[in-house]
Amino acid sequence: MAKKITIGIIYSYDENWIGGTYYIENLVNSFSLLRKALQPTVWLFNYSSLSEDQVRDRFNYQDILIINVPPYTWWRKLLVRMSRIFKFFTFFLYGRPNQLDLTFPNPYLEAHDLCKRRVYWVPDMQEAFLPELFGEVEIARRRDFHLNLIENNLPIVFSSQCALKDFENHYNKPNVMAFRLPFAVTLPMGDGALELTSLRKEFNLGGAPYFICSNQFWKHKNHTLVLEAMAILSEEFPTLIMVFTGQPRDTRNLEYYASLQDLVRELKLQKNVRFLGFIDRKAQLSLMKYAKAVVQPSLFEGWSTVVEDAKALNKEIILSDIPVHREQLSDDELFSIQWIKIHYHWP
Amino acid sequence: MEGQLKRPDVDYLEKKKKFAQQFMSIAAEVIESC
Repeated sequence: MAKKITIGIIYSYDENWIGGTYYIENLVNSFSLLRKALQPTVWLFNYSSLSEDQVRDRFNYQDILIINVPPYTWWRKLLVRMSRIFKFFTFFLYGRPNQLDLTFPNPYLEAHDLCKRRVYWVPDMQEAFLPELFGEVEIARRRDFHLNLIENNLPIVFSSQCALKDFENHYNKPNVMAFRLPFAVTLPMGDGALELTSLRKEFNLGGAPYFICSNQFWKHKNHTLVLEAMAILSEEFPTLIMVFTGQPRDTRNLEYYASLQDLVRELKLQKNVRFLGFIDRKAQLSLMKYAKAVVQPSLFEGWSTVVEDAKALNKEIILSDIPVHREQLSDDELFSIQWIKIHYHWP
Repeated sequence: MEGQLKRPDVDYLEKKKKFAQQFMSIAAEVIESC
Protein backbone atom coordinates (compact mmCIF):
# COMPACT_ATOMS: atom_id res chain seq x y z
CA MET A 1 0.00 0.00 0.00
CA ALA A 2 1.35 3.41 -0.99
CA LYS A 3 2.44 5.77 1.76
CA LYS A 4 -0.06 8.48 2.60
CA ILE A 5 1.19 11.83 1.36
CA THR A 6 1.23 14.93 3.55
CA ILE A 7 0.91 18.16 1.60
CA GLY A 8 1.52 21.65 2.90
CA ILE A 9 -0.98 24.00 1.30
CA ILE A 10 -0.43 27.71 1.64
CA TYR A 11 -3.68 29.59 2.06
CA SER A 12 -4.70 33.17 2.37
CA TYR A 13 -8.20 34.59 2.38
CA ASP A 14 -7.70 37.66 0.23
CA GLU A 15 -10.67 39.63 -1.10
CA ASN A 16 -8.24 41.62 -3.26
CA TRP A 17 -7.52 38.46 -5.22
CA ILE A 18 -10.35 36.13 -4.33
CA GLY A 19 -9.63 33.94 -7.37
CA GLY A 20 -6.45 32.76 -5.68
CA THR A 21 -8.35 31.99 -2.49
CA TYR A 22 -11.05 30.05 -4.32
CA TYR A 23 -8.37 28.14 -6.23
CA ILE A 24 -6.94 26.68 -3.03
CA GLU A 25 -10.38 25.99 -1.57
CA ASN A 26 -11.42 24.19 -4.75
CA LEU A 27 -8.26 22.10 -4.75
CA VAL A 28 -8.51 20.94 -1.15
CA ASN A 29 -12.25 20.33 -1.39
CA SER A 30 -11.70 18.20 -4.48
CA PHE A 31 -9.50 15.82 -2.46
CA SER A 32 -12.62 14.45 -0.76
CA LEU A 33 -13.55 12.83 -4.10
CA LEU A 34 -10.43 10.68 -4.12
CA ARG A 35 -10.50 7.13 -2.83
CA LYS A 36 -9.85 7.20 0.92
CA ALA A 37 -6.48 5.52 0.56
CA LEU A 38 -5.33 8.19 -1.90
CA GLN A 39 -6.51 11.20 0.08
CA PRO A 40 -3.57 13.26 1.31
CA THR A 41 -3.16 14.73 4.75
CA VAL A 42 -3.29 18.49 4.35
CA TRP A 43 -1.44 20.96 6.51
CA LEU A 44 -3.17 24.18 5.66
CA PHE A 45 -0.94 27.15 6.48
CA ASN A 46 -3.36 29.99 7.10
CA TYR A 47 -1.79 33.36 6.36
CA SER A 48 -5.07 35.27 6.49
CA SER A 49 -6.78 36.99 9.41
CA LEU A 50 -9.56 34.39 9.45
CA SER A 51 -9.80 32.30 12.62
CA GLU A 52 -9.30 28.55 12.52
CA ASP A 53 -13.08 27.99 12.75
CA GLN A 54 -13.75 30.44 9.92
CA VAL A 55 -11.19 28.70 7.76
CA ARG A 56 -12.55 25.25 8.63
CA ASP A 57 -16.03 26.36 7.53
CA ARG A 58 -14.65 27.02 4.06
CA PHE A 59 -13.27 23.53 3.61
CA ASN A 60 -15.19 20.33 3.26
CA TYR A 61 -12.29 17.93 3.77
CA GLN A 62 -11.69 15.68 6.75
CA ASP A 63 -7.95 15.09 6.85
CA ILE A 64 -6.89 18.69 7.34
CA LEU A 65 -4.79 20.39 9.97
CA ILE A 66 -5.19 24.17 10.03
CA ILE A 67 -2.11 26.06 11.15
CA ASN A 68 -2.48 29.78 11.80
CA VAL A 69 0.83 31.32 10.85
CA PRO A 70 1.91 34.13 13.16
CA PRO A 71 4.00 37.12 12.03
CA TYR A 72 7.40 36.31 10.60
CA THR A 73 9.67 37.52 13.42
CA TRP A 74 13.44 36.96 13.48
CA TRP A 75 13.23 34.05 15.94
CA ARG A 76 10.53 32.44 13.85
CA LYS A 77 12.64 32.85 10.75
CA LEU A 78 15.45 31.14 12.62
CA LEU A 79 13.18 28.26 13.68
CA VAL A 80 11.94 27.79 10.12
CA ARG A 81 15.50 27.64 8.81
CA MET A 82 16.46 25.16 11.54
CA SER A 83 13.37 23.08 10.77
CA ARG A 84 14.46 22.76 7.21
CA ILE A 85 17.70 21.14 8.33
CA PHE A 86 16.48 19.35 11.45
CA LYS A 87 12.82 18.33 11.21
CA PHE A 88 12.69 18.13 15.02
CA PHE A 89 12.49 21.93 15.21
CA THR A 90 9.00 21.94 13.75
CA PHE A 91 7.86 20.86 17.22
CA PHE A 92 8.64 24.41 18.34
CA LEU A 93 6.81 25.85 15.36
CA TYR A 94 3.72 23.70 15.10
CA GLY A 95 3.79 21.26 18.01
CA ARG A 96 4.38 18.29 15.70
CA PRO A 97 7.13 16.78 13.61
CA ASN A 98 7.58 17.86 10.02
CA GLN A 99 5.93 15.21 7.86
CA LEU A 100 5.52 17.31 4.75
CA ASP A 101 6.17 15.57 1.46
CA LEU A 102 5.39 18.59 -0.67
CA THR A 103 4.29 22.21 -0.45
CA PHE A 104 2.12 24.21 -2.82
CA PRO A 105 1.81 26.93 -4.21
CA ASN A 106 3.00 30.37 -2.95
CA PRO A 107 6.76 30.91 -3.08
CA TYR A 108 7.16 33.80 -0.68
CA LEU A 109 6.02 32.37 2.61
CA GLU A 110 7.78 30.50 5.38
CA ALA A 111 5.87 27.26 4.95
CA HIS A 112 7.72 26.63 1.73
CA ASP A 113 10.97 26.59 3.63
CA LEU A 114 9.85 23.51 5.53
CA CYS A 115 10.00 21.21 2.57
CA LYS A 116 12.54 20.61 -0.16
CA ARG A 117 9.84 19.43 -2.59
CA ARG A 118 7.83 22.41 -3.71
CA VAL A 119 5.40 22.86 -6.53
CA TYR A 120 4.67 26.35 -7.75
CA TRP A 121 1.71 27.88 -9.53
CA VAL A 122 1.96 30.46 -12.31
CA PRO A 123 -1.64 31.58 -12.89
CA ASP A 124 -0.99 33.41 -16.15
CA MET A 125 1.44 35.60 -18.12
CA GLN A 126 -0.85 38.59 -18.37
CA GLU A 127 1.97 41.07 -17.74
CA ALA A 128 3.62 39.98 -21.00
CA PHE A 129 0.48 40.70 -23.04
CA LEU A 130 -1.01 43.69 -21.25
CA PRO A 131 2.04 45.37 -19.69
CA GLU A 132 0.28 48.73 -19.73
CA LEU A 133 -1.96 47.46 -16.91
CA PHE A 134 1.00 46.73 -14.63
CA GLY A 135 3.55 48.90 -12.88
CA GLU A 136 7.24 48.29 -13.51
CA VAL A 137 7.72 46.97 -9.98
CA GLU A 138 5.06 44.29 -10.39
CA ILE A 139 6.39 43.25 -13.79
CA ALA A 140 9.90 42.97 -12.32
CA ARG A 141 8.61 41.00 -9.32
CA ARG A 142 6.88 38.47 -11.55
CA ARG A 143 9.89 38.20 -13.82
CA ASP A 144 12.21 37.59 -10.85
CA PHE A 145 9.88 34.89 -9.57
CA HIS A 146 9.74 33.16 -12.95
CA LEU A 147 13.49 33.35 -13.49
CA ASN A 148 14.07 31.88 -10.05
CA LEU A 149 11.84 28.94 -10.97
CA ILE A 150 13.67 28.46 -14.25
CA GLU A 151 17.17 28.75 -12.81
CA ASN A 152 16.41 26.21 -10.11
CA ASN A 153 14.39 23.93 -12.39
CA LEU A 154 11.45 23.99 -9.98
CA PRO A 155 8.16 22.29 -10.89
CA ILE A 156 5.44 24.65 -12.08
CA VAL A 157 1.72 24.11 -12.46
CA PHE A 158 -0.16 26.07 -15.12
CA SER A 159 -3.93 26.07 -15.23
CA SER A 160 -4.12 25.98 -19.01
CA GLN A 161 -2.11 25.00 -22.05
CA CYS A 162 -2.35 28.65 -23.10
CA ALA A 163 -0.61 29.79 -19.90
CA LEU A 164 2.02 27.08 -20.23
CA LYS A 165 2.77 28.01 -23.84
CA ASP A 166 2.85 31.72 -23.02
CA PHE A 167 5.46 30.98 -20.34
CA GLU A 168 7.54 28.82 -22.65
CA ASN A 169 7.44 31.37 -25.46
CA HIS A 170 8.21 34.29 -23.19
CA TYR A 171 11.25 32.61 -21.65
CA ASN A 172 12.39 30.86 -24.83
CA LYS A 173 11.40 27.30 -23.94
CA PRO A 174 13.10 26.94 -20.56
CA ASN A 175 13.98 23.54 -19.18
CA VAL A 176 11.49 23.23 -16.32
CA MET A 177 9.07 20.61 -15.02
CA ALA A 178 5.84 22.12 -16.33
CA PHE A 179 2.38 20.68 -15.76
CA ARG A 180 -1.04 21.61 -17.09
CA LEU A 181 -3.59 21.38 -14.31
CA PRO A 182 -6.98 22.86 -15.19
CA PHE A 183 -9.03 23.38 -12.08
CA ALA A 184 -12.67 22.70 -11.33
CA VAL A 185 -14.83 24.45 -8.77
CA THR A 186 -16.70 23.13 -5.78
CA LEU A 187 -19.98 24.94 -5.23
CA PRO A 188 -20.32 25.70 -1.50
CA MET A 189 -24.08 25.18 -1.59
CA GLY A 190 -23.96 21.89 -3.51
CA ASP A 191 -26.71 21.61 -6.09
CA GLY A 192 -28.98 23.98 -4.19
CA ALA A 193 -29.21 27.75 -4.22
CA LEU A 194 -30.44 30.59 -2.06
CA GLU A 195 -34.03 31.63 -2.58
CA LEU A 196 -34.55 33.95 -5.58
CA THR A 197 -37.15 36.26 -4.02
CA SER A 198 -34.88 37.03 -1.07
CA LEU A 199 -31.95 37.65 -3.37
CA ARG A 200 -33.95 40.02 -5.56
CA LYS A 201 -35.05 41.92 -2.46
CA GLU A 202 -31.61 42.01 -0.86
CA PHE A 203 -29.90 43.29 -3.98
CA ASN A 204 -32.68 45.54 -5.27
CA LEU A 205 -33.17 43.66 -8.52
CA GLY A 206 -36.95 44.07 -8.80
CA GLY A 207 -38.62 41.44 -10.96
CA ALA A 208 -36.84 42.07 -14.25
CA PRO A 209 -34.61 39.56 -16.03
CA TYR A 210 -30.91 40.09 -15.52
CA PHE A 211 -27.49 39.08 -16.75
CA ILE A 212 -24.57 38.78 -14.38
CA CYS A 213 -20.88 39.57 -14.65
CA SER A 214 -18.89 38.32 -11.66
CA ASN A 215 -15.36 39.63 -11.82
CA GLN A 216 -13.23 41.72 -9.57
CA PHE A 217 -12.92 45.19 -11.03
CA TRP A 218 -9.53 44.70 -12.62
CA LYS A 219 -9.18 46.70 -15.81
CA HIS A 220 -8.42 43.61 -17.88
CA LYS A 221 -11.83 42.20 -16.98
CA ASN A 222 -13.20 44.60 -19.58
CA HIS A 223 -16.41 45.74 -17.87
CA THR A 224 -16.52 48.69 -20.23
CA LEU A 225 -17.55 46.48 -23.12
CA VAL A 226 -20.50 45.14 -21.12
CA LEU A 227 -21.71 48.64 -20.31
CA GLU A 228 -21.47 49.63 -23.98
CA ALA A 229 -23.48 46.53 -24.92
CA MET A 230 -26.05 47.34 -22.23
CA ALA A 231 -26.49 50.81 -23.70
CA ILE A 232 -27.57 49.18 -26.97
CA LEU A 233 -29.68 46.46 -25.36
CA SER A 234 -31.50 48.79 -22.98
CA GLU A 235 -33.00 50.68 -25.90
CA GLU A 236 -34.95 47.58 -26.88
CA PHE A 237 -35.26 46.08 -23.39
CA PRO A 238 -35.52 49.04 -21.01
CA THR A 239 -36.09 46.94 -17.89
CA LEU A 240 -33.18 44.59 -18.45
CA ILE A 241 -30.60 44.60 -15.67
CA MET A 242 -26.89 43.87 -15.66
CA VAL A 243 -25.58 42.77 -12.28
CA PHE A 244 -21.91 43.21 -11.48
CA THR A 245 -20.39 41.50 -8.47
CA GLY A 246 -16.80 41.66 -7.31
CA GLN A 247 -14.38 43.67 -5.28
CA PRO A 248 -14.55 47.28 -6.53
CA ARG A 249 -10.80 47.73 -6.51
CA ASP A 250 -8.05 47.45 -9.07
CA THR A 251 -4.87 47.87 -7.06
CA ARG A 252 -2.95 48.44 -10.30
CA ASN A 253 -5.40 50.99 -11.76
CA LEU A 254 -7.03 52.87 -8.93
CA GLU A 255 -9.22 55.06 -11.14
CA TYR A 256 -10.82 52.15 -13.01
CA TYR A 257 -13.89 51.55 -10.85
CA ALA A 258 -14.75 55.25 -10.69
CA SER A 259 -14.42 55.47 -14.47
CA LEU A 260 -17.06 52.75 -14.82
CA GLN A 261 -19.42 54.69 -12.57
CA ASP A 262 -18.88 57.72 -14.81
CA LEU A 263 -19.61 55.63 -17.89
CA VAL A 264 -22.88 54.37 -16.37
CA ARG A 265 -23.99 57.98 -15.92
CA GLU A 266 -22.78 58.96 -19.37
CA LEU A 267 -24.70 56.09 -20.98
CA LYS A 268 -27.71 56.74 -18.74
CA LEU A 269 -27.72 53.20 -17.43
CA GLN A 270 -28.41 53.94 -13.76
CA LYS A 271 -31.66 51.94 -13.89
CA ASN A 272 -30.10 49.03 -15.75
CA VAL A 273 -26.92 48.41 -13.80
CA ARG A 274 -26.32 47.14 -10.27
CA PHE A 275 -22.90 47.15 -8.69
CA LEU A 276 -23.18 44.79 -5.72
CA GLY A 277 -19.55 44.82 -4.66
CA PHE A 278 -17.95 41.76 -3.12
CA ILE A 279 -20.71 39.46 -1.88
CA ASP A 280 -20.84 36.06 -0.22
CA ARG A 281 -19.99 33.29 -2.68
CA LYS A 282 -23.25 31.41 -2.08
CA ALA A 283 -25.21 34.56 -2.95
CA GLN A 284 -23.01 35.21 -5.99
CA LEU A 285 -23.43 31.68 -7.34
CA SER A 286 -27.17 31.69 -6.63
CA LEU A 287 -27.51 34.94 -8.58
CA MET A 288 -25.61 33.30 -11.42
CA LYS A 289 -27.93 30.32 -11.33
CA TYR A 290 -31.05 32.49 -11.75
CA ALA A 291 -29.55 34.88 -14.33
CA LYS A 292 -30.50 34.81 -18.01
CA ALA A 293 -26.83 34.15 -18.67
CA VAL A 294 -23.38 34.74 -17.25
CA VAL A 295 -21.20 37.32 -19.03
CA GLN A 296 -17.42 36.95 -19.03
CA PRO A 297 -15.86 39.73 -21.15
CA SER A 298 -12.29 39.39 -19.83
CA LEU A 299 -9.30 40.27 -22.02
CA PHE A 300 -7.01 37.81 -20.29
CA GLU A 301 -7.32 34.75 -18.05
CA GLY A 302 -5.16 31.87 -16.90
CA TRP A 303 -8.25 29.69 -16.44
CA SER A 304 -11.43 31.50 -15.58
CA THR A 305 -13.19 30.65 -12.32
CA VAL A 306 -16.34 32.30 -13.68
CA VAL A 307 -16.38 29.94 -16.67
CA GLU A 308 -15.98 26.97 -14.33
CA ASP A 309 -18.79 28.33 -12.16
CA ALA A 310 -21.00 28.48 -15.25
CA LYS A 311 -20.06 24.91 -16.17
CA ALA A 312 -20.80 23.66 -12.66
CA LEU A 313 -24.16 25.44 -12.71
CA ASN A 314 -24.84 24.28 -16.28
CA LYS A 315 -25.45 27.89 -17.15
CA GLU A 316 -25.37 29.66 -20.50
CA ILE A 317 -22.41 31.96 -20.80
CA ILE A 318 -21.47 34.79 -23.15
CA LEU A 319 -17.74 35.23 -23.22
CA SER A 320 -14.90 37.01 -24.93
CA ASP A 321 -13.11 35.25 -27.76
CA ILE A 322 -9.70 34.75 -26.19
CA PRO A 323 -7.61 31.58 -26.56
CA VAL A 324 -7.98 30.39 -22.99
CA HIS A 325 -11.77 30.64 -23.14
CA ARG A 326 -11.73 28.48 -26.26
CA GLU A 327 -9.46 26.02 -24.49
CA GLN A 328 -11.64 26.04 -21.41
CA LEU A 329 -14.81 25.26 -23.32
CA SER A 330 -13.67 23.36 -26.41
CA ASP A 331 -11.21 21.13 -24.61
CA ASP A 332 -13.95 19.67 -22.51
CA GLU A 333 -15.72 16.56 -23.65
CA LEU A 334 -18.41 17.09 -21.04
CA PHE A 335 -20.04 19.92 -22.87
CA SER A 336 -21.57 20.54 -26.25
CA ILE A 337 -20.92 24.08 -27.31
CA GLN A 338 -22.52 26.27 -29.91
CA TRP A 339 -20.26 29.06 -31.11
CA ILE A 340 -22.11 32.11 -32.27
CA LYS A 341 -20.06 35.03 -33.46
CA ILE A 342 -21.36 38.34 -32.21
CA HIS A 343 -20.10 41.90 -32.42
CA TYR A 344 -16.84 42.13 -30.60
CA HIS A 345 -14.11 44.67 -30.46
CA TRP A 346 -10.76 44.79 -28.80
CA PRO A 347 -10.25 48.14 -27.08
CA MET B 1 -18.98 34.38 -28.90
CA GLU B 2 -21.51 32.38 -26.99
CA GLY B 3 -20.94 28.97 -25.50
CA GLN B 4 -24.15 27.24 -24.64
CA LEU B 5 -23.38 24.58 -22.12
CA LYS B 6 -25.51 21.49 -22.05
CA ARG B 7 -24.51 18.37 -20.19
CA PRO B 8 -27.62 16.63 -18.91
CA ASP B 9 -25.98 13.22 -18.78
CA VAL B 10 -22.64 13.96 -17.18
CA ASP B 11 -21.99 15.33 -13.75
CA TYR B 12 -19.52 18.09 -13.06
CA LEU B 13 -18.35 15.89 -10.17
CA GLU B 14 -16.18 14.00 -12.63
CA LYS B 15 -14.28 17.16 -13.47
CA LYS B 16 -13.62 17.86 -9.80
CA LYS B 17 -12.42 14.32 -9.32
CA LYS B 18 -10.09 14.66 -12.31
CA PHE B 19 -8.69 17.88 -10.84
CA ALA B 20 -7.82 16.09 -7.60
CA GLN B 21 -6.39 13.07 -9.42
CA GLN B 22 -4.23 15.18 -11.70
CA PHE B 23 -2.86 17.15 -8.77
CA MET B 24 -1.99 13.95 -6.92
CA SER B 25 -0.26 12.58 -10.02
CA ILE B 26 1.85 15.73 -10.24
CA ALA B 27 2.63 15.47 -6.52
CA ALA B 28 3.70 11.84 -6.93
CA GLU B 29 5.91 12.67 -9.92
CA VAL B 30 7.60 15.53 -8.10
CA ILE B 31 8.14 13.49 -4.94
CA GLU B 32 9.66 10.68 -6.97
CA SER B 33 11.93 12.99 -8.93
CA CYS B 34 13.38 14.88 -5.95
